[in-house]
Amino acid sequence: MIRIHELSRSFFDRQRGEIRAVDALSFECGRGEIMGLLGPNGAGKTTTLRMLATLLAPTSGTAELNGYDVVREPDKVRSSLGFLSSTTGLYPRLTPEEILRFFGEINGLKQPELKRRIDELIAEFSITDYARVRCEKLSSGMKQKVSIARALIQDPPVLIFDEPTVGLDVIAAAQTMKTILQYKQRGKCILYSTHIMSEVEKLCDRIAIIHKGKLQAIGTLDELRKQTGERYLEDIFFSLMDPGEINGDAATAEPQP
Amino acid sequence: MLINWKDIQTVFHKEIVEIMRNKRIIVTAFLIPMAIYPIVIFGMDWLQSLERRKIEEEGYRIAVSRNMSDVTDFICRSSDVPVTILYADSVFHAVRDGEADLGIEWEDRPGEDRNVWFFYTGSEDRSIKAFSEIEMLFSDHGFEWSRRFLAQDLALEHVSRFEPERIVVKDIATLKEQTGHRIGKILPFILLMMLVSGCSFAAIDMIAGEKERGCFETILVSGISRRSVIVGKMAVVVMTGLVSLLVNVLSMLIWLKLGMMQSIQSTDTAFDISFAALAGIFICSIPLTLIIAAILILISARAKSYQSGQTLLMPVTFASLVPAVAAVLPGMHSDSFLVALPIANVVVTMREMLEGTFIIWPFFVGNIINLGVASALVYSAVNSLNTEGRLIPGTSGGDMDGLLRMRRDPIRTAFMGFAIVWLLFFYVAVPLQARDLVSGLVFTLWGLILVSAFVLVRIQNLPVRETMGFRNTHWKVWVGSIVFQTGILPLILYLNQWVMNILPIPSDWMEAFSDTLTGDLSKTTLILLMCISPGICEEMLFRGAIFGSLKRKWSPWHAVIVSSIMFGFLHFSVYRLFPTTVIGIALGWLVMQSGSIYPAMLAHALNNFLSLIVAPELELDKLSSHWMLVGLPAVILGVMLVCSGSGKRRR
Repeated sequence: MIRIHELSRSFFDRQRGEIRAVDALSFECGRGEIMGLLGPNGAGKTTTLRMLATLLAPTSGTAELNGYDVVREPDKVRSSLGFLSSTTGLYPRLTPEEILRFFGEINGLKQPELKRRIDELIAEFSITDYARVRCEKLSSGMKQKVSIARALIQDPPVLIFDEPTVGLDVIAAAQTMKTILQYKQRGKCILYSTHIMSEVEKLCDRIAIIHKGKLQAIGTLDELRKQTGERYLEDIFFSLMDPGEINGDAATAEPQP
Repeated sequence: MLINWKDIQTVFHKEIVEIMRNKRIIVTAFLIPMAIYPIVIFGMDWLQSLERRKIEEEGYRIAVSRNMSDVTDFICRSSDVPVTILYADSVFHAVRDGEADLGIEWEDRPGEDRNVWFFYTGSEDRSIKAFSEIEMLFSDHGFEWSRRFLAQDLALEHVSRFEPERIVVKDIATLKEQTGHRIGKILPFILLMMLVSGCSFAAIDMIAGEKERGCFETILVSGISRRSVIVGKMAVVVMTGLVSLLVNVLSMLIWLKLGMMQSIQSTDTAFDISFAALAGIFICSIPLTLIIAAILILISARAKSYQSGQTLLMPVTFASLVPAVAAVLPGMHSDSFLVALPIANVVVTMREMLEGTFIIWPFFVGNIINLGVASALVYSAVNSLNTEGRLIPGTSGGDMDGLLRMRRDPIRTAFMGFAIVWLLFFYVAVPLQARDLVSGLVFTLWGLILVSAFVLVRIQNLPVRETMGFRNTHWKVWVGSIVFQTGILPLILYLNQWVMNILPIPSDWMEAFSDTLTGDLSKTTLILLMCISPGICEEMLFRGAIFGSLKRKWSPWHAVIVSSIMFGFLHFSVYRLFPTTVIGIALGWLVMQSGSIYPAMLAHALNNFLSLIVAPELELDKLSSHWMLVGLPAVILGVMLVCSGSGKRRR
């Protein structure tokens, strides 16, 4: 479902010159699988996901999503994709129902399928009570539910979540993760990026640890344990970083918005 | 997938719903125009009546030079406003020091040709009013008062010739035309402002605002083409602008028609706009709105947040008002070069429609030109999201391969460098040249221009020799460039004439310019300063540093044309822009073809020598168009020589 091969992306910075935000990254993620993308801030996670979502063009390498190439067939890639990040927002002056209808329509859903799908999502995410309240009046937890429903409106085969629990309280974060697990069971291919270890341990079938744009290790939690000889994910993670980095010299290779 | 009408409709509908729920846009685009006219009209009326009452209560203070009781009695009796008469030794000083609003002085010498002097302060409304009212009394009752005051010191039999002939002033413009003229100077301006403000909030909120709120990313990763997104949004911006404009015009008409401007209505104003004029104004607003909407979308696509969008917008709003100012200047008509200037052509046409003096052909030509400009802008706006740096704040996209090894973006550096040179040129070099031509020119060419060229190359870490084109070339190129430049001269002279026909140079400018040429400079100085020095220094900047920077990222022709336009812009005025740009293109071609800057330097010096020194002496500047044909074989021969010579160099 997702296939990345030697994917690289460089940025040009006046002071620092060329920055390799993503450096020859390769991995695959299949149907019914959650792949965790773990790395510190500036590791290249967001850049990778943005290349997959056709927001950024790769400098070199290839990426395929649902069999479509991100550079050659961006429209088809976007149609097969549900994308949610901590920075994606909702239209404050529209209601959840209007937002779902809008995204349904631009993703090519037609009546009565559109209405059925909206009702389904409103029921599934318990949005009913505030489906006709403007989003500017909703709490962050409510907004997050609407955002997830928005990403799922056309029932896409591939889902990309970029730190979706940032800014959410424990309950809302737990609900978000529960939903993601349900969608895995429905056979979706899910790429989940975060720097929170516990989320990765709970959710992900396989984990890709990236640092400074490079893939450090990839595999199931057990495989990573064997590879590094550490028991906990946190220790595995640290064992793959440079010692200097952990002592406070954090990497900031990737420009953050 | 290019553009999908269903998608555009969906985006349009969503944006309309959002706008209707946005208080800020509703207030600025619709409510303010509805409220502003009654406020302005009532306010003006109220202020005027307040001032009138104050004057009526306080009256005018009139200083006179000596006791002329008949005349002063006459003034006091005839004026509607109470008058206080002051006697002053110096009437002038009494008014100047603010003791009186108006001074009247009779010349003291006996005889017939005596003058009456009125003194008033033209910078004070009260003084102006006093003057116009009293002077009107005098001219209405001229005969009567002149007899009275003359009778005091002259025998009446001598005054037969002194009786003032009544001067009757009659404006033959109809009341409608007069009002149209007055309103026509303000209204297009207000409409333009309202159009820009009406469109701008919507445009910024829809793109820059959505980027800030994180909503823009979601629509970009959906199954809709980016062009459809922009077209849908632009349609809403255009609609907001037009509705805001319509609300403005209607609101203004309603309030004026309701007769709220009583004070003006009752005296000398007839307000009447025909339906045809209104329709015309609305029709020419449509391409104008498209232009403004596209510019706003382009700006908004560059902005990262609502606030940065507004910051970027400020200079654009002012820039859009500049052509509008040009269009309301006295003497400007639509059947002139203004027709080719977007925004200015609409403003001047609107004014003429209100005056009732408008001509049909500039209306059509202007609208077609505006539509053309609008299409180009709309096209670039629709494609504005193809640059990824504009999609996601914080990422600088663009061509990575050529740029990575360089410290700066060459295009931006070239433009910034040119802007700085241009500013220094106008604010430092031109005043210096005005003080002393020789030292000023030496500073401009060998200081400002030459140093800038090297600085531009240096800060980009470019190799000097390659960028500047310091390399020898085949003899054929040298000969070819001389033949080519000589052949192209008639074309340039003809272009000069053509430009002068469209845009006649004011004669005092022309004299000042020829003064510098024929002035006290010797031929040798002239050749050194105006032929050889520009040849070397200007070539190093434009065909060396700027062209060398631009061609690193752009195609050579693109770089030649843009650097030539810059070259044209540095040559003083709009009159020389077009011919110098053409010369720049010719010289740019020489450099591009030969890879060497030297033949262009020679050609540039030769061009200046021929056009500044030889052509005036032979009176070649009065060429007829078929003289161009004489140059043609020379141009062809020159091109052939240059091509063959540069081909040899490459081998």
